[in-house]
Amino acid sequence: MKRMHFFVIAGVVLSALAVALSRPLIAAEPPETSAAAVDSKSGDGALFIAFVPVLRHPRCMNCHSKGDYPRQGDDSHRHTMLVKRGPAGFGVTAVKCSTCHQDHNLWDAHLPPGAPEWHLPSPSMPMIWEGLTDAQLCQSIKDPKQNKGRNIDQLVEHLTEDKLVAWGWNPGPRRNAVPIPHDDFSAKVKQWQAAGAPCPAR
Amino acid sequence: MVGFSVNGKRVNLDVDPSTPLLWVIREQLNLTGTKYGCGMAQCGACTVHVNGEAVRSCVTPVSRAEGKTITTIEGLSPDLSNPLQRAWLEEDVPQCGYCQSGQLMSAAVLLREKPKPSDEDIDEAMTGNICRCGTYPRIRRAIHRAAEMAAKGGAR
Repeated sequence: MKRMHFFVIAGVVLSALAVALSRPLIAAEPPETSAAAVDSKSGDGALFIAFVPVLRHPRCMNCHSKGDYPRQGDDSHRHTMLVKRGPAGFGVTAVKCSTCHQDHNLWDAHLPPGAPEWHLPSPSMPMIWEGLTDAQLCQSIKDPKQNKGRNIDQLVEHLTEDKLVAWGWNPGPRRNAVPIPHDDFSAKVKQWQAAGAPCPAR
Repeated sequence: MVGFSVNGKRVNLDVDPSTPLLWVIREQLNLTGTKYGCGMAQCGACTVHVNGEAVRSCVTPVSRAEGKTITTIEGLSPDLSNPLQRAWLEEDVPQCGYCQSGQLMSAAVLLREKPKPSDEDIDEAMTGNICRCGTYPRIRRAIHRAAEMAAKGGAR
């Protein structure tokens, strides 16, 4: 009976010890979050900068550039035929995006590429990223007044799941895709979201 | 099978859904007013309307037409009474004529959205329709003339 008590007491002590020892391990996670918060405060913005090369790539920037028109190619020249943004971002009268662009890519590089809802941002919220610093770009895409009213969850969904955005990874023959694989990009965006979507200081 | 309406007539066709709409219009439906120019959506000669919007039929798979309403130059009016057609005749716009059905179809969308277009509106709307004969000044005059006719109730 005494031996039984010993085992029970020893078990309780060991369990308590195990719980006590495990606490620092569990508690080791919050400092990472704290570190991210520090990043956010200090404006390090590394989590944003990790995926910003995608946003700055011509596949994205050609529709997020200055001017009332889209651009083309890796040199971001003005869209041929002087195509314009139009009143809703879908072109003008007889020269709408869907006049030539389909909801899918065509068979050659010199044919119009395509994806569902092919369009530019609307003129009332043109989402022009050209000329912005990383900090300004980060704040811009987070600002519901500049990002079509999206909260962070909706922004992340747009960046990682929208079919027109996803075209950047599948731009059709002889066009360069955005630089980070889609899975990696999505993971980086979600990591940034989990840390509170911190922006660089400048 | 792909089914849609062309110039008010319902058609059902046994064609590969990836076939360009232009091929179907010209070869299956024998509506040869719509022309093949570049085959790459670069010139505008093949322009038709899909649910009222200008579309380059040479790069548009016929599957996109499924359940929709297609209008070709033959359907712009049954008797050349559309103000654009009348203005085109009065201004004697065409030279070789090859691009003109596409020009008219684009102009029709312009006038529907902007019944009294400025020169700038015309330039914006017609920028994707190339004319190697250079009939652009006559096209512009004819669009203005058609707009005036329509404003006066000229659509017979």
